[in-house]
Parts: sequence; structure tokens; C-alpha cells
Amino acid sequence: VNTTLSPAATYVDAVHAALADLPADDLADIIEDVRDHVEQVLAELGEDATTGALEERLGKPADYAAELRSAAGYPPALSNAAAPGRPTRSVRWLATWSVRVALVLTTVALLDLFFTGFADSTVALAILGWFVAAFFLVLWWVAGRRGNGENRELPDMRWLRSQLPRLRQHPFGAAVVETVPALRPAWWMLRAWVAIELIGIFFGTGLFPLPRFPGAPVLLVAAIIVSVWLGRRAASHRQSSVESALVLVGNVAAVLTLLWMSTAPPLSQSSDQFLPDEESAPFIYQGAIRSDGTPITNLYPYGRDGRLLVDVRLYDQDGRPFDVLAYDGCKVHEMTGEPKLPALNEFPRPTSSHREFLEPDCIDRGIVPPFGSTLPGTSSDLTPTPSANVVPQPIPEGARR
Amino acid sequence: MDTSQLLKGVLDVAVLAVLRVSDGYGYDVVRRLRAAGLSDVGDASVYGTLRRLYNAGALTTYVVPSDEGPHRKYYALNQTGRDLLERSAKVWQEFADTLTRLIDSGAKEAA
Repeated sequence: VNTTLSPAATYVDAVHAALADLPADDLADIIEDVRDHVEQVLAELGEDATTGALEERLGKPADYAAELRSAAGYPPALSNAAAPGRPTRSVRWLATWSVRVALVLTTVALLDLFFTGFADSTVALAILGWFVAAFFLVLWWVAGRRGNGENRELPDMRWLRSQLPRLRQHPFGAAVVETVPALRPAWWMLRAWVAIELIGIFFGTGLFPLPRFPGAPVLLVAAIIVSVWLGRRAASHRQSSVESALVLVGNVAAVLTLLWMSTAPPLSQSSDQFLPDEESAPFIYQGAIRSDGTPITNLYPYGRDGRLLVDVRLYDQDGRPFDVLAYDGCKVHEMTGEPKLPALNEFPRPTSSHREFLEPDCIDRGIVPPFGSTLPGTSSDLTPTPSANVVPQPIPEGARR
Repeated sequence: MDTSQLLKGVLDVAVLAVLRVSDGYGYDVVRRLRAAGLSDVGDASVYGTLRRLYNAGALTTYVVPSDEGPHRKYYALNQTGRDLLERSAKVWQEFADTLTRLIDSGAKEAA
């Protein structure tokens, strides 16, 4: 018996264990009633609300369970019914530990975000961790459905619940406990939006204010309805413990995604800027690609006399600006920090070297033709001045795709 | 004779009768049964009976939000429940009449 649990939680847990073989849905309802019952009896007992006093009033948990069972018309408990089968027990162990591992990964990701501001890999790992946890929770839930039920509540959740009364007693904690429910509907809307955004991230589409795939607004409305429905179910304590654990996992994943979206540079940028990241990824593949699959990032036209041509604008057979889209130059002006995007069909383009993982700055290398300013084998020695600083030019609407 | 033994057979009727007066949550039903004079009624039996009647489709439940503490689940009679109560009450009445007559005639003979 865990002595840190309140008398109510201890009693309810014992009743739960004794009724563990009942159908899962019935059991969840019954335990909800029993919890309410025990809490009211404890409230009546007032000051001397101890486990002993509770048992004097209601009988031992096992007797209470047996009386309830026979009055409800369920078959009597088999002696070993409370002991979960080995498969269920190992799934339960996996579920418990995967949630704990996911929590640790989340902590690491949050620290990483806080200290480096760029934590794609750790956040992705944490989200993966929560997916694994959700998988085992579902497995546990399914395993428990096939008879041989047991107390299907994560030990950690039980502990958290037992801490709630303690929090209520604290003046600051009480204020939090009272305020949080008022904010719930806002959170239900937000998490629905995050779910839709996750689909957008998965497909690599633009993200703000909604992902750009067909039907996204309809899907958002559907997600909001589901989210609010789940939220109201949780608010009225009608969820089974595994269901609430799953919703918790979803909530944690949503919070992580939100953090990731708000701090990681590639996702917080609008897709209007061409960054070599997930958002513009489909554009790269739609652009010019060499037959070996390498994206073409630049073109260097040379004239008949062998001299490099600069500021050349290219169009395709339909008169559309030809852009290769995998822009390799600096996106911001080195000195002013202003966005710097040449007309997309203008060649050759300035190139740059990135040091993204260490420092976000981009070193402008100007125009670096592979053959220099004149093609080898030609006689001209006239050199065009490679412009180190390409003047930022407003991009005409038509120049964009 | 221990009334708790008698109660076992008729707790359904008692619970249905209490709920016909007005809807109630579990502990409320326990209290009203006690107040009505069934002091031996076991808490867990009442909860079990509520569950059985609910599983039998005689009761519906709904949740009432409360400002203090958790939301409370109320039980209410539906048509099936009212029919069940009517039939059970008739059976009980006949049974009680029979038993009363039996006891009365026994008492007269003894006298």
C-alpha cells in the first residue's frame, strides 16, 4: 500500500483491483461512482478521515467490492482475476516506461530549445517518443478489453491525481486550479489547429495561417469539433483512464509541436522566403533538376566570346520566368539584415556558404563561376566585375511562381 | 430477522421508487433510502443495484457540473424503469398481502 496516497485513493484503488475482471467500460463507470462515494463519505467524516475510519464506515475494500458485485449481478470474482495476465502486465510495463522515456526526451528537448534555440532533432525525438507511448497505451487498452482486466491506470497518473488536493490547499495552487478550467476551450481550439498543422508539416506544405492542402479549412472545423467533444468528455469525467492518458499524450505532443513551431527558424518563417527546408522542399523538386536528381542551384551563361554574362534573365517556352528555386545565396543582406532576394530568373546568382548549425549567418561569396569570368580556351581577358553585393530588387509578382 | 437479508430481494424496487420521486446521484439515493427507514441498506449494494438497473436499461444517467468538487452523475428513471417499477410494485404488493394474511391467520389460530 502506497502511504503517499490519500485514504480515498487507496480505498478506491483497492476496490478497483478487486473488480478488475469486470468489463472495462462498466468498470470505469463504477469506479467513477465509487470515487465520488468515498470522497463524500470522507467529507462527512471530516477531521478524522483516515483509512481506518473509512473502512469502519464502508467495510474493507474487498467486502465493499464483493457487495457491489453481487448487487450489480456480476459473476463472483475468480480468485486470480485481479492478477493481470503476463502479456497485459508486460504491455502495462511498456506503456508506463514509454511514457516516462517520452517525458525525459521532452525535458531534454525543452532544455535544448531553451539553450540553443534550434532543437529540431531533439524535439522530433520527443514527439517520436510520445507516438511510441501512445502506441503502447492503445495496445494496453486493447489487451485489457479482452477480459482479464486490471487497474488500467498509469501509476504516474494516479500519483498526479493524489497530488491534486495538496495543490488545492496551496493559495497559489488553488488560484491556478480555479483559473485553468476557464482557459480550456481556447486550448481545445488551439490543439485542433496544431493537429492540422502537423498534417501540413508531414506533407511539407506552407503552414500559415493554415496548411496549403485542399480541404484544410474543412478538416480544421472537424478537428475543432472532435477536440471540443473530447475536452467536454474529459471535463465531465466520462473518459476511461486509458482514454484520458491518450488525450494527455496528444496534448503533450501538441504543446511540443507548438514550441517547435514558435522557436525553430525553418518553421517560423513564411514560405514566401526560399529556404532549403521542409517548407520549400516541394518547390525544389518542381524546379530544375539534373537527370541525376541534383537540384540546379545556379546557371552561368557565357557569351560566344567566352565571357561570363551577368544579369541574364531566362524564360521558358511559355514565357514564364525560369527559376531553379533552389536558391543558394544569402537570404538577408549582410550589413543591414534586410531580406535580399534577387529576381528568381536572374542568373548567375550570388552564392554563399552557410554555417547554419553553429551560427545562423550566411557569408556572401558573390558570383563564383565554375570556370572564372572567361571560359578556358577563349582569348578574351575582359573581366566582368562579380558583384559582391547584389542590389536587392523587388520581385515582380509575375516573376514568382 | 435481519432486514438486510430481506432487502436483498427488494432493493431494486426501493431504488426505483426513490428515483421515481426525483433523479439522484449514488450517495443521494443511499441517503434517501436511509431517511425512508431502510437503515440497514449497504452503500455498496445501492451502488451495485444502480449499476444493474442501468445495465438492464431501466435507468439513464446524466452529468451535472458542480462548482465545488467533481461533476456528479445523476441517475433517472426512463420508461423501461417506470414499467419495471410498476410491475415490481404489483408483485411486491401481492407478495406482502399474502404474507400478511398468512401471519395474521397464524396469529388468530394461536390466539
